[in-house]
Amino acid sequence: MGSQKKMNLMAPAESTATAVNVIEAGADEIYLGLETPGLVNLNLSGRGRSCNAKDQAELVDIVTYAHDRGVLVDYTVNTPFMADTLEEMYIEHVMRGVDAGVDALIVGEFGALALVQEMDLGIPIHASVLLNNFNRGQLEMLKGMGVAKVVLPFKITIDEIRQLSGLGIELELFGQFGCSNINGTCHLIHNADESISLGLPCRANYRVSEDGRLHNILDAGTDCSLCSIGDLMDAGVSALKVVGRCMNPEMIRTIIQTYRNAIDMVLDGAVPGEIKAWVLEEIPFWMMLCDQDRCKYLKTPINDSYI
Amino acid sequence: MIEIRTADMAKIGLVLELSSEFGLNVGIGSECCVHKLPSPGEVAEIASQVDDLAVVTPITPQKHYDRVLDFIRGLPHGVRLVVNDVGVLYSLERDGMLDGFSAVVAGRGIVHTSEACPWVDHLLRDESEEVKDAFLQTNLNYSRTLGFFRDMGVTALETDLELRTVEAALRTGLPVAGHAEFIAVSYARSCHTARFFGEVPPACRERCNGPMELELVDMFDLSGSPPGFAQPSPEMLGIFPKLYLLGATIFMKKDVHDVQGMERVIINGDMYDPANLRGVVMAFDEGMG
Repeated sequence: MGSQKKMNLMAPAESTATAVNVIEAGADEIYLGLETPGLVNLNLSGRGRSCNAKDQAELVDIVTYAHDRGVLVDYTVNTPFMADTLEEMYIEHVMRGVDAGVDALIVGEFGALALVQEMDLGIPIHASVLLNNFNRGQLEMLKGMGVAKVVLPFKITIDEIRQLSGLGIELELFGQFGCSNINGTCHLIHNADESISLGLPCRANYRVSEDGRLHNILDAGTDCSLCSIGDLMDAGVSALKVVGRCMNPEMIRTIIQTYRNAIDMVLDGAVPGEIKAWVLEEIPFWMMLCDQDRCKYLKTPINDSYI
Repeated sequence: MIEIRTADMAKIGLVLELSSEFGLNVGIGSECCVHKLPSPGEVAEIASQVDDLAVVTPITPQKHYDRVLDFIRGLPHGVRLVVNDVGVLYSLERDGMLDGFSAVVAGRGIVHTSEACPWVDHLLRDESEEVKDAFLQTNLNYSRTLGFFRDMGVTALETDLELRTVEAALRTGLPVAGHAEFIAVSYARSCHTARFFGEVPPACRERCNGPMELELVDMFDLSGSPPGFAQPSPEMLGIFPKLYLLGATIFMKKDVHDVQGMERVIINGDMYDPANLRGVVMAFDEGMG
């Protein structure tokens, strides 16, 4: 504990209002996408319609607001799927962000990565969680492709993070919320502007044939890393990211304020017990996460089930 | 050509018997779990008994990275190597370790298809025909992605046996192997089967020699306050299929038997009751002509 390293707090945004919200709450970086002309419900920013800045003018406003406050803007061009017939649309999508002055591109497909590299845009490229950046080989490959930072998978251990640090590529990690399955291989797609409410399929209850039990068998969701912030800093994580494009603005503001305070507490020498005591005192609903053992980096039944 | 595949060494006798009877290729290993890899001795023994052995290697977290590379280094000359992890593939190619395999195959951990989403047609409902066509392909249909994987030594691909997916996969020019009936909807690292049985990998490794069926009962509704379980709507039930869980992999079932143009069909022997496996093989064997 007691790391001297800096860890950026990275927050989701999808509009000027949400960007202002999370920046006021203490984010060091924001990430967001942009609506894609030519697509109706889908989007090349890796989310469905309405989870993104509506047009380039709004993106410019957000970038200006963020930069005026020393906050970085990462632009998601992380569609997990590309095609030759989408390439021109993708290039235009990337350039709208670049022209708006974003600070980095988050890319989620290998061919798209090769394309963006070839475009030689002069801004850092980050490898999305959708690329399943699990191991040393992959990080070495991405470094060779000019990638500056990787977003690590939702399911990874601190020991593994330690092993992956020091490879000359920055590590970014989801600290709050995230998927039960391996993100880049999961086709239980939701939040893609479906008109049928699917909720979270991985957290649903299923009747299991094995014994007829009703069971949330696919629920491996881990939600919180507050008690591990110091260890993550020590392991070499340079940015801690919160899931939540399209989440309730009040909720996301509270979460960002909580992580802002927790990171600052760690930098001031606080230990995990102090952070937990503080959050349970200040944010009573956090107890729900503690009660459910949804810690991302502590010993829990979910983390014990890692292959 | 049919390949019958298993990760359960207790079934290998049946698999070899069917292989001999129907002239099938054999596959062993796992797309998603390092603990389901056979031992080097088992690989050598099986390789000595079949002409065409595919060895499947899994998505590989850093914890198992060196182990998987060591496993691959120890494989017999001439096997067909199926790789599901890009980092592993990169290391093999960089270190000149891909020579000596009869084929280097990108598995479903690398080859993605939108049709593996049970409600893909709903997601595409309002898009133009051009956009629908673009999305209803594999990721290797994008020429830059195909080039990327070809440069890393990939000589063939595996994908789900879905009509539009296979049609698209064939356009890559790579030999295509299609996974019959069970479409890989999702892979997990936090093993759902291990957790269900309250066991810790690898102690759970015998729990996933056959699938469990999952019927949706309660959705998890994010719009509630707080979010929680709720009755799924008829519309949701209309698009949400029965799921099948084998270890850490979630499948749905599709009854597609059109195998035209494919190099091979892969039958996952672990998804069927061993007593029915012969019948499944016979059905596809007839389809292959």
